[in-house]
Amino acid sequence: MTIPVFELLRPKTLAEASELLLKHGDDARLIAGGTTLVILMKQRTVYYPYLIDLQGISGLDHITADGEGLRIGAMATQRAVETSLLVRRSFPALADAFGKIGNVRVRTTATVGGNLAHADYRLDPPPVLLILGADLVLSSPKQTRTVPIKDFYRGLYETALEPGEILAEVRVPPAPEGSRTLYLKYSSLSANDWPCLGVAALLKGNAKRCDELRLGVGGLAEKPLLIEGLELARNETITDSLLDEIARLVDEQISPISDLRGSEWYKREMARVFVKRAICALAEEDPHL
Amino acid sequence: MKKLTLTLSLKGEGRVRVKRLRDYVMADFSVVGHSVYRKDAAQKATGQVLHVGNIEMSGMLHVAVLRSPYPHAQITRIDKARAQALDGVAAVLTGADVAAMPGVDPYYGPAFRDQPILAVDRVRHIGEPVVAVAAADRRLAEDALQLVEIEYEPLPPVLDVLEAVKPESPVLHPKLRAAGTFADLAHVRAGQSSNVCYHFKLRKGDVEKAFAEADRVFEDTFRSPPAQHVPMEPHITLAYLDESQRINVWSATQTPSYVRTELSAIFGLPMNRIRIRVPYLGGGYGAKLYAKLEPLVTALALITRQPVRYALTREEEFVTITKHGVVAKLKTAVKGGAITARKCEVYWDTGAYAEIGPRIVHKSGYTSAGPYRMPNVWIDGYCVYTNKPPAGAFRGFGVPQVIWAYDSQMDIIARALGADPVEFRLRHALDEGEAFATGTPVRAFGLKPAISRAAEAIGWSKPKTASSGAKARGRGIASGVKAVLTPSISGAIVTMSADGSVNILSSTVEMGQGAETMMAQIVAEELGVAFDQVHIVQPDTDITPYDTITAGSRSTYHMGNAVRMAAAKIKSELAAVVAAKLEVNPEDLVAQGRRIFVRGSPERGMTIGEAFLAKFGSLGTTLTGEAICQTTAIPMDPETGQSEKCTEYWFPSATAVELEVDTETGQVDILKFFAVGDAGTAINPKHCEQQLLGSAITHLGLTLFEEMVFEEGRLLNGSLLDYQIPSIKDMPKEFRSIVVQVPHESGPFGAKGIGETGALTVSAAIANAIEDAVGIRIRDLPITPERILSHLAARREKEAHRKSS
Amino acid sequence: MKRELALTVNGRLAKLQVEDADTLLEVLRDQLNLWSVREGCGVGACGTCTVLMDGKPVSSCLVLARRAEGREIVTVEGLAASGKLDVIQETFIEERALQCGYCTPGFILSVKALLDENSTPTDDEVREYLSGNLCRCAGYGDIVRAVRVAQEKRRAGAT
Repeated sequence: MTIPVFELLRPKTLAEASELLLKHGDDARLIAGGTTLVILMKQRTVYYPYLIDLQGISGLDHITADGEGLRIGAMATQRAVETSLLVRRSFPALADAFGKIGNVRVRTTATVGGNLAHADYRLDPPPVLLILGADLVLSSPKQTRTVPIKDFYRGLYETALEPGEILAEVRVPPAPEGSRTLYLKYSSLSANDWPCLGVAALLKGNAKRCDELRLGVGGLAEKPLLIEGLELARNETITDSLLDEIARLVDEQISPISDLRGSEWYKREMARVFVKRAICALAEEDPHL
Repeated sequence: MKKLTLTLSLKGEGRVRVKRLRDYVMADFSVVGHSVYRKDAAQKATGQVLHVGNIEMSGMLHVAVLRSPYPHAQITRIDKARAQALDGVAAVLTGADVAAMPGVDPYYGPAFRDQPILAVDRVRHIGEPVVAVAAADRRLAEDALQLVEIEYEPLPPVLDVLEAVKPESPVLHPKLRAAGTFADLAHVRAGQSSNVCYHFKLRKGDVEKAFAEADRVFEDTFRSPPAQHVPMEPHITLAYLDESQRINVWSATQTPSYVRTELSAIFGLPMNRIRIRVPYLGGGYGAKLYAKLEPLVTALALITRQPVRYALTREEEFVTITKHGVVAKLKTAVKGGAITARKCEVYWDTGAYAEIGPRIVHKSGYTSAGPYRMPNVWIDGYCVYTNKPPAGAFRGFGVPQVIWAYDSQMDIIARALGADPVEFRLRHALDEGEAFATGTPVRAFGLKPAISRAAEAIGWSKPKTASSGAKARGRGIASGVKAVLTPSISGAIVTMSADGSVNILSSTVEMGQGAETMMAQIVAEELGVAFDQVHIVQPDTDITPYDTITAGSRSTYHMGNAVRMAAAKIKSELAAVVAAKLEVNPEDLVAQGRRIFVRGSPERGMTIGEAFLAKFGSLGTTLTGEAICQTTAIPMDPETGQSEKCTEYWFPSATAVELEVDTETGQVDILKFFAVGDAGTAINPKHCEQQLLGSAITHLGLTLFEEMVFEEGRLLNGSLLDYQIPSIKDMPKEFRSIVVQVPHESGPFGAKGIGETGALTVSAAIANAIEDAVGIRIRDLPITPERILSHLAARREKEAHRKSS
Repeated sequence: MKRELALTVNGRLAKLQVEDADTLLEVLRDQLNLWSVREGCGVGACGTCTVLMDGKPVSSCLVLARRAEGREIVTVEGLAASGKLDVIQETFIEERALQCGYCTPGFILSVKALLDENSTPTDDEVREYLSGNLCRCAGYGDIVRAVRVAQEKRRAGAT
């Protein structure tokens, strides 16, 4: 498979890139790491006469932290996030989720922004970013706006990005004091496969008393979901019946797509199992317990 | 030689033969039986190795192919004018163009000439080649395809093998022509008027009477899906006309000799006007057998008069050749704790073109009832056309599919009878000299040792580790056999130079299995030279003699014998010279350490160089030996499948596993895994272990998750993003192979072969262990977590229903 | 339209004419004839086209050649350029960690990158790092053993 001839445009600034996007409209697309776009172009599933390369724009691959949390540039590679001590120390589940994408070669090439903007329903990082309440910084010549990640995903491969807008940065606010996070990826076929589903959980408290619980899931709907209504767990002891109630809540909110990795029935079953496993694992690991 | 297992209970002649073999095995060989390094290791580790993809020629054209989007359709119009007008496009070829080439047969195939080089009028599966472009580069060829317009009129497709055999089903091939290439397929007849292109029958005893008299009758249907070989190197072929206008082909094929015959038949040319060369293959596993890209690429080379190369993409690989999906219905009678009869109805989905399906249905079909003692056997094997990509040979040649059925059922029966599964198998396993279902007595049959070694490795007699929480532990075992393809032929030429260095001319293809190393070991041993003094000339039909096929675990025996016999001819010529000089009996001479000398008196002899000088008076000469190993079979009776000799020998196999099932997810974790196989004498023990384990791990994938998923004839997972093969993360926690060595009297140094043995029994062993763990019986492959969980859920529902009512 | 590209491969700078649409894999094979870099799947899943880019493994089939400008590309041909095999190549031979050999250059480069990054990886780290290199001959056991032996040899000073 070869890629049909196109022209690679290499802007030096975000503004220049946005202008190129606006100028060429449907004839152009951004290329970040390129690991997905190159495949689609080779398969001739999509074709763009112009690709706008974000690689030459400086200041887009940072991973930094301050009092307001973590900032990850859209062009930081997935591998950089996975191996960043800064990320691993403050948000181990986020490092884990980025470390579970594809294989090490893909993660070395692919970027954070490319992954998030692709909006595949099975991506590993979004569930974790959802429970961490991450914001996405979208840049365009007119304005720079910040969109909570739960509002970013609109549907299957659909995002809130407007024409000319570029995902520039991910901002992750500090997690609630004393909370712990976890990401479970479940592959139902080979160990190395895309996930059947992914579950991210954040727990503050322990098995005896849950102060706060957040759940994010991937692969269980057309877009990654932040589970709502988990206030019901607040101040509760984590019992089997509470877990059942949470699993029911999850089941009501998901709408799994049957695919090669599992039927709707199976994914619903697995959502129940892995949501419970994630919560129990976090509850048991409380160092103060 | 260590690790020799001779625990057969012997009867009659068997005892005599094995006694003679013992001399072989106990002899101290200097190269055979040693795990010498691969001949090709260094060039592979440095990437210097020659593959077809490395061969560049000036003016070489590249090919891209437009493929059918319909499973079954009539082609009503093709407009290629715009593509042809594109600058740099040398040819745009259709099926009609091929048919119009003078003297060319546009159809090919090893069993029937049913497959068009490019679709003629009709397409029969999604992905079938319809139009081919040859252009200056790949991108241009692919661009040109976009400019070709094709109109189709869809026809009703036949997608299910059980639907396809119904009389009302649309017939894919109204007229069939037998190919007549292979001796073992002489019985395959053309002219059928249904989708069953071949029906194999075996009748022994009276199964109906046994069913009527049985204590219990077991009926089960087992399914295994189509799958793909996924050699890391996809198919690739380069063809050009040389300075004498002969057709030259470089191809990644396991069958150079056959490809030459096929091209000769297609293009109506004498065989010596065609030259096929094969460098190293990046894996084959059966995918690269028979003609694949060669007919099309040759046609393009003839038309353009330029070198033409076609490299399949991975996506194209998936629609080029597959493993047969199989539905096997087994009915088994038991009386007094013993199996008295088995009836097997096996439907093989061969896809749109028969490919080698009829040979698989025949050669593997006759083993469908298993290597077990049973007085009454009835087998019907049907090779059936459907509108799917063609199915062919895949490591195990169909036998893994039938063992999946019969050795799953062996366990079902043993459990139902309260018998120990290992003991039940050992009790029914055929002994040396006993007749197989075909009436052929089995020889050098290490089945019982294989079962015993597998059971011992897994600690069958010891208690299992207890299950904990949601995890349930189980152990399983399975056994079975494959028969070697018979009759078949391997020819070889060995040449020795006066310095003792040796060339082997053989058409056996090196595809990772270590055949070159095996041949070099045998010849070095025979001629008493060092392993490093032996060079293998790669398959080149101008130079290397005919070989039926590099497949079916047959090369060690057949080509091993051929090269050994060829080397022996040189040895006897040298021995004659030395004997004359020293005035000794040539039979008292041995070749060892680069010398020919009197056995027991190394000082009484000559070096190879001295022998050459004595014979020729010169050191610039060569000695040549040629030999053919040809095995024969007595054709089976077409109505009863009976033959006193249906095969030359057997490959006994056993697998033992211990696993854990997560009862909440259905996920299986393989904790211990032992692949056991009888190789005969292991020429290279390390390579035997690698073959056993490699074929077993591949089948671990095929058991647990590999499946080509079709929807209305369209493949849903035709790329490596979606079709999964085992990675390093899928390895069992503990795994090992055990090479059982029951030497064969006529194998080279007693060797048989081991390329597929590990593959045979994996699926059934895993299903058997799963039943042991969680008490459910899976009859459909692959055994995905969802399949297990849905069985568990159904059982829970049934139990809940029973409790409430 | 072809444009000039200066690519550093195995320590040498090559001036080439490439299309923006050419992948690094295509350029390495078709223009530089580095045959150890092979297309196995075209989608970054099999690892036969693995090369090192600034020391890190990438799938050259997914990288546009133009975007590799200014980076250091290493293929297996570059490991033994002086005629002496890299200790990992040597160990793959000794430990029988290759059969058909089509996946071998990719594995060797991945193992090199792994051990360069982490001289004492855990079993899980080895498996995770190598999980994107597929071997259909399924010689994974031999490959893992080769990693461990190479690791020891490197610790003892071998290169």
